[in-house]
Amino acid sequence: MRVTADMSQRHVLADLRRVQERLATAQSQVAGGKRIEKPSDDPLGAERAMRLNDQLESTGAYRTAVDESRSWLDATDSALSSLSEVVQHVRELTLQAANGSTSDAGRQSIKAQIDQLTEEAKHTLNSAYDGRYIFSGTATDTAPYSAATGDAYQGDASPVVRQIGPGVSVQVNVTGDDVLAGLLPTLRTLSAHLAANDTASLGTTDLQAIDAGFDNLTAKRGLVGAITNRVDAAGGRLDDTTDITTAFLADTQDADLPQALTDLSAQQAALQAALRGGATLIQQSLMDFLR
Amino acid sequence: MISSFLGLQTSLRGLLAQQQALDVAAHNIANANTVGYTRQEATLGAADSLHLTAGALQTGAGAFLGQGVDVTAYRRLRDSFLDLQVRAQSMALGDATTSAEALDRVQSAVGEPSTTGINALMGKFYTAWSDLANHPESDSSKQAVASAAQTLADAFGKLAGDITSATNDANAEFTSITGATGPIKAAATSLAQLNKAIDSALDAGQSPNDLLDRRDQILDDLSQYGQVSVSQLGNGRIQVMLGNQSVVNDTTADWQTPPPAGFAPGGGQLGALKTLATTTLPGYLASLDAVAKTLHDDVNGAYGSAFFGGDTAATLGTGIPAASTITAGSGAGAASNDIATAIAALRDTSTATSQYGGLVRQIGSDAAGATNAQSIAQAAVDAAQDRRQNVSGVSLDEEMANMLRFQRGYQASARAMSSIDDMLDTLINRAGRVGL
Repeated sequence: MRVTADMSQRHVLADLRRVQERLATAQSQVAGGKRIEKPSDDPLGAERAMRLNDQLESTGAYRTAVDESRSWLDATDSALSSLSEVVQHVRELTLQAANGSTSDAGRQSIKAQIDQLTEEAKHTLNSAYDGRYIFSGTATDTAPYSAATGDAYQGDASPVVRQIGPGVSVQVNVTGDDVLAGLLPTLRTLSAHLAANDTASLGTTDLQAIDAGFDNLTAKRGLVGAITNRVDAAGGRLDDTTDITTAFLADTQDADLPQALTDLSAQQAALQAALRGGATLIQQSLMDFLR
Repeated sequence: MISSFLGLQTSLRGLLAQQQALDVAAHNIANANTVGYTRQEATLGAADSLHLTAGALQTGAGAFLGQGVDVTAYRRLRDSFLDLQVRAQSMALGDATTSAEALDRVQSAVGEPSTTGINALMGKFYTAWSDLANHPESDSSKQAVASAAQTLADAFGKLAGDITSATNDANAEFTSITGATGPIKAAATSLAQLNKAIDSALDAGQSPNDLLDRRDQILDDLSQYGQVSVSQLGNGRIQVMLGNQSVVNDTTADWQTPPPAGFAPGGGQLGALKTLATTTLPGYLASLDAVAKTLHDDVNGAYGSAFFGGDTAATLGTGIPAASTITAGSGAGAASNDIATAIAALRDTSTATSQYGGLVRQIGSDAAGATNAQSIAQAAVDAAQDRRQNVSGVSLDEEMANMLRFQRGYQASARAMSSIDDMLDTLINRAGRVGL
């Protein structure tokens, strides 16, 4: 082959261009830390990276819902726990009132306490979390009980539902009606019996009704606890998913840094060699030797 | 009887021929870096012999007596088959380069995978709905939904706009290349003039080597735009076709501006532009519109009424409800969140995201394919040019050696001439002077 000056110059330039392209790729991988910077770097990988990013975003959203549900359930449990103490107190007072040794005046004082405790029970269920009445069903902007409406439940019966995973939803609320529907009339009856000094009813039907109300309350607390466990488990699974997805995403789109650094130095060496070779080649000519 | 001065004439021919050969070497060296130059060579041949009639030799036979050297031709060292190879590869390179640049522009506009692309914005849109499902009472959550929807719709509109403007640019480039002020029209005019000049030079018995070089260079340049085919019309004149349209026919520049609707460039830059503007880019836009339509239908279906206004990428953003009118649930209660929950659940059930992923993969594969094709075509062009340079390129070392050769030839002819001169000096000035 006749090698002309133009040819060798073009070869040197083409070689340099190729080496410099590879050097630039290695350089941007090291600098950006990403193997896929645009879809053409790896079309399938880019699509997978997008899907994994979606999954992270979605897991994050479900995680937010889990945390939100958990706070709601904690607030519910704390209110129900206070209510339990109120009912316990009512029971103790009722036992005391049913006892024959308690004077009529003492019973009237107990009645006053029971009336106060009844108001306290309603007040407990008026507790709000994040500005929302959690015992009002979906009518979270309305307090379940108010002074003006007496013992009538003001919320609705609709469930408050949170989505804590793909296709997984939980009802996080307990309505005021669920808890107090039986208990409030019981307390009112108890109050009437105390006013009438009806010790027979106090020791029998009233005590039984209070126990039934307490059992209902305990059952509701158990339900809230069970849902809390379910939500916690879902949260744990979401955390696992996040870890796995993050690792998979890193595998998919992140540059293998040691590999990229090795490439970078290899390409630097190649560039130097190409430059040195080119410089030697281009300079030489027969003219250097003829006189 | 042979003239006493025949030798002088023979030496003179030698001097002149070596000088002309040296001139050609100088011309080659001067044009060593001229694009499209073809190296030339002075072909030397023995001059017509002097015919000595019968009886000239002792045997009684006749003879031919050499009279030195003549330059018989100035050859242009070129292989037209290699030209075809270079032009075919240059056409492929024009095609691949144009496609690669346009597709790279589109994939930059897509900007995936990233935290700001449509994919991430769709995710954030669903997350905004899921936040609203957690806080259906909250005005700020509704505000977040409205703004995430607007941002997403804007991104769809922006990408649709970018693809459309890439399409428009491809059309505009096609028009400007093929138009009255474009390079093809200019090439047609030059080719017509060159055809005429080459024809006259050949008629006058000259070798229009440098004109032929210029014409071949124009054809090389033309081949990046499309399929160039050349047919010989005799006496050095040619007809040139670009795809299915004539560029020049003999001395007539008959390239039409604008080219007729049926113009098919057959490849090259124009072929790539045509494919981009009529097939590839509109295809991407249609796929993007399909994603927008899926999103529109799914979200509006779950919302129960119009949420996204238009069902194309460009119009998706029209009529997104104001934050204050967004409803999170169908129930009467403030915490009713069934609608927000249903829309948030679309992230797992709607195919919009995977459709969009498919589109990005498609654009990525196309761009990767075009970039690969570009480097392959570049290598093929380099190789074809090497093969052509192998035949036609000026090698300075070779010319240097030739210069030495011709210089020595010239010196030797001059020496021969002076020795004949010495001989004649003896004859003319010294003969017949016996005793003087």
